[in-house]
Amino acid sequence: MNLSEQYYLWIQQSLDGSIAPADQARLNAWLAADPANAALAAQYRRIWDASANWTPELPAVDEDAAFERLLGRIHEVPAAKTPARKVNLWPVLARVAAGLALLAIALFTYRQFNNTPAAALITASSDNTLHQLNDGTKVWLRKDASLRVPAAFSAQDRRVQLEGEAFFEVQHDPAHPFRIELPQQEMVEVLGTEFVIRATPGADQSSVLVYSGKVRFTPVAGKAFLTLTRGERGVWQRTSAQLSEQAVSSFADLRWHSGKMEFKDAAIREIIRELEDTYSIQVTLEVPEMANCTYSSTLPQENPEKVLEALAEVHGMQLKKTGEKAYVLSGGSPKSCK
Amino acid sequence: MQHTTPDTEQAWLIALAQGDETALRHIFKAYYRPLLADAWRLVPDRSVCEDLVQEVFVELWRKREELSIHSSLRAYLRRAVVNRAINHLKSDKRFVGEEYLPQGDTETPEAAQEQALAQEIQESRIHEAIAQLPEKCRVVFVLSRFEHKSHKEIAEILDISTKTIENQITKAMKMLREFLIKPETLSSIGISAIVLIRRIGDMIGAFVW
Repeated sequence: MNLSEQYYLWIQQSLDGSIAPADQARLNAWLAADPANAALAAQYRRIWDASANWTPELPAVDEDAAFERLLGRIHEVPAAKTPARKVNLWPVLARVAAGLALLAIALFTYRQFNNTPAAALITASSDNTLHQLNDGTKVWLRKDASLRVPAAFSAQDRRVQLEGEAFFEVQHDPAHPFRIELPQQEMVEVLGTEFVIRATPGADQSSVLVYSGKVRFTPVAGKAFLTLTRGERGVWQRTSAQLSEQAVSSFADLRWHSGKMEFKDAAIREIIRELEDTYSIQVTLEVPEMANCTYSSTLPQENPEKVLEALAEVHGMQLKKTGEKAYVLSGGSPKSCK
Repeated sequence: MQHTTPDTEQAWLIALAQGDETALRHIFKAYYRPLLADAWRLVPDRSVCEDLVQEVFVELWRKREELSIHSSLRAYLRRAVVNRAINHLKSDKRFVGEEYLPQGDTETPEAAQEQALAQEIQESRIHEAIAQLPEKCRVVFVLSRFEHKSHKEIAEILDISTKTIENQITKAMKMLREFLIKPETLSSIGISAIVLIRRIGDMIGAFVW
């Protein structure tokens, strides 16, 4: 930085109050040396002061509609203002009830056979085996994953060891962080949240994808970490020791657990590709420009047709089933989305 | 915005913790627009801002039972919105990595000083001027000016060197000043040049990032 740049920085720092006393003295001397210097600084002061109450001009916003949308989100059903999107709740509730019943049976059975909790190594022989820990945390293990749980958690934290892939729903307890040690000393630290970990021993990478809440992923203790929130995936490349963060637009990694699909700001192109790859269906988009429009699901969907239906409704398209595994999306206005 | 006192905020929060949607509506009514403005300063994109603020309210609702807000609710929500806006910016690949600074600044110190003596600053156009800043300049300026973050804090938030933050912020101030110098003393060519530099900067930026 040359001399004059230095003065610009000092002027700036004196405005935001971050200037060191020694620099302030040098700046004062410079200001006193020439009235032009002082005039320049005065102009900066006026700009700085004038900017204080900058409230940007917002475009017209429909506050009531926004609040309706919020209510829709917190009730986890589509907003009442868009009757076209209204869904029949009974099948959903029935499924939830069935799910709860299954869960209750599973828990009952689990408790029956686990009356005396000892330091346990739990190994999953099939996908999606649920284990509930003493603190209420639920873990769904993927096939071949194993989880080591102590007989009782320590007073400071809740520590378990995981090898393989698992989905966690951690019981919220800020006083006792939930810590998951992975095969190569990588560490995931949680306060209360849902996420999936993929940590196969010997694989090139380990990863954490967060479904809700906030997770800290520390591959090497004391070195680097990532704080991840919903839709963020932290990836640790074990061989090259590189830590990176990706924003995902689809929670496809969770399908083995939830059996459902969920998208977040995903381009229609990506969604179609994913559905085609996963379900061997064919989807034709009659207006190709629609491929760039994005879609976020309001509810997790369990089959590709449901995804396409919701997508079509949001973007004013029509869905036609033209064969056993063939769909056509027609209509829609690409101008209405960016 | 309706006038709010800490007492009403506390009352809202207590009602909110009990699952009272009317309290949520009150809070929403009071803070939706101010929060949109907070987001807009960093991300001037309507649908993004609306989504960010929605997320913050959804989160407020989800956490309603365990909230312990020591500062004001307004400040709490504002921090939440600003954090989300920053995360949004950082998830944009163009925004990550080393900085591209538009090379529009040919002003010598001497020329600047002459101008300083001769020219009036039009403070009334300041809002227009801030909105015209290139994205990173604006973001750094906003975090410093409105969120009262130190250069070091901004550097940590954005994963950029403190040096670059200093460059960006002095750059922002220079550009504001150039923009605000009265048109009769700065030729209209000068103004369009600034705009053009910005556009070219954006275009080059797209290739660089």
